[in-house]
Amino acid sequence: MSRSSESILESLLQSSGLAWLVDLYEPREQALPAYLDLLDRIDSEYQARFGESVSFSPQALEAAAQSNRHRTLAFLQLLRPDRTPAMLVMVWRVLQGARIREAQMEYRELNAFRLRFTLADGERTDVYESHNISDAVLLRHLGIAKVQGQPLFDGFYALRLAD
Amino acid sequence: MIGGKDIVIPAAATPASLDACVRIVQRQWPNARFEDAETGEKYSTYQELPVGRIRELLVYNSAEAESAWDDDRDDAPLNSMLYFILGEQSVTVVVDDPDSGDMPLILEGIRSLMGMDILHIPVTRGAA
Repeated sequence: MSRSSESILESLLQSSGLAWLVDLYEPREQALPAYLDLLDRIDSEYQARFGESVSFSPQALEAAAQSNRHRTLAFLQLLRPDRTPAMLVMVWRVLQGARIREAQMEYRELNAFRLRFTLADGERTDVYESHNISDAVLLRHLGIAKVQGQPLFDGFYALRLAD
Repeated sequence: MIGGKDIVIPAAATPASLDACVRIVQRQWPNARFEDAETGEKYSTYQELPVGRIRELLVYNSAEAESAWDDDRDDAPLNSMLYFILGEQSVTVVVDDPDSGDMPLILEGIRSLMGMDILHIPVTRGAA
């Protein structure tokens, strides 16, 4: 990735109230390369699953934020170098309109963790699975509702940052 | 515009709230079409809809309904279009008849999502 990508990403994080992601990273000078590497891995995961490339470059995210800053912010808030790229692809797909058909979580203290989402987009169904407990944090961004008394997960949302 | 009923739903009234409304509608109307009510700009899919720049949104349940409303034809089916207005602390939904067809389901879903914690409760920056 070029230096300009680092600059754009840093600017994007700052304007999203996420500058601390860089400040708290150890060592700090490796923060932006680590986040750019994560974006590359998300891109590769998307390409592997769908056979087409959707750019997750800072430039593309910056452009997406022009139209739908709230969606881009939800995605940016979930970025951490230790997250599973497949789960971030899943979040992106939901932000683009895919529906959450099924979600499963298993946890055994100091033993095992599994998070599994099944998405539907038109006729297509995709399964995303993680054994990395760091990915559990995405659950707090879920849209949660009841319709006719039945459970509904719909969308991912950015946390509202206090002033 | 449409001679319908205004349903005012208390909400955080942010782009995320309008986005949640659209998602709920699209569950019932998978072929929905969209129009920025202020600019007249049209969008055929959710993906291309710049929700973050829209304050008033028309949602048609199909291309046929959109065409009928555009032509101001009398055969536009009942409840085939919704008009969303993002206010300061509410979302107003203008609908022909809130009690018929799939409208009760849509309105219930919107009310439920508008009450989501994540749209209302601020967190400190370190928690994001």
